[in-house]
Amino acid sequence: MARDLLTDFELMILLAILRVGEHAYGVPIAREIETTGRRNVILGAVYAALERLETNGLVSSRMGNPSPERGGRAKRFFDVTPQGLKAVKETQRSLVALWKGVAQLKGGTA
Amino acid sequence: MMAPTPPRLACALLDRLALDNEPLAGDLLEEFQRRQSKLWLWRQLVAALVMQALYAPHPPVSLNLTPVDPVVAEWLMAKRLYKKKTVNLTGSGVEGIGGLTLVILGFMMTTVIPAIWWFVVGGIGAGLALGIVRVKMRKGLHSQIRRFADW
Repeated sequence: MARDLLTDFELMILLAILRVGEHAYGVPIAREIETTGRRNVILGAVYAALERLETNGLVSSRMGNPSPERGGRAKRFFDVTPQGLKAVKETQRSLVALWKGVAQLKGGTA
Repeated sequence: MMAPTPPRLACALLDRLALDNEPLAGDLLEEFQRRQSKLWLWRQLVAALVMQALYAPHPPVSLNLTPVDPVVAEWLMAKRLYKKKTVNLTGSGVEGIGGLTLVILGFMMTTVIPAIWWFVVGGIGAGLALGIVRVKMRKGLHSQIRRFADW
């Protein structure tokens, strides 16, 4: 049960993939975390987390075609697996449950 | 407008990174062309190379110190069928303590308790004296045996 919960960075990555949709690869995932999640990211850290998530079966990946603007290097597209979606929901449930009833967090956004 | 090109050294490092992680190298180049910031590229590139070195899976490499395949040797040792042999490559007589460890130990001793060196010097002196006494005794014993044999 405990292993199903994600770290904050893993959760952000999975949510970013879900938000970007079908064409989620490193750049749009990092951009989504930076713009929506308001967090500076290191692309290498994103890939390290994606590797870990793929090993745990939470994301799957497929290679795209090489393109000249990337120096002839291919993109790697990521999708959230059903197991990954379950982990996101599980983490959300736990966080919301912890959130509820905390007096210090009521009535403000700060 | 022409797309900016990264510095030559950064290009070489991107090529090196691409050997292990081609999509990441491509992503860095793509994002560099949008941001046009060399500082951003260097920061990302150095972090990526460090992470690659730390987290990339390294397959075990055999040193060929054992006569059997390392995987088989591990299995045999787990089953207690093969006795593990350690090879002392440090040049130190004490197993598990290499030359560098002795240097670090000496440095720490000097920094923390310099007076302990008197014990070390005393120990060496006592060892030498004991050695001389033993050699003398052995010589005396040999001459006694020879005299006894002659007699």
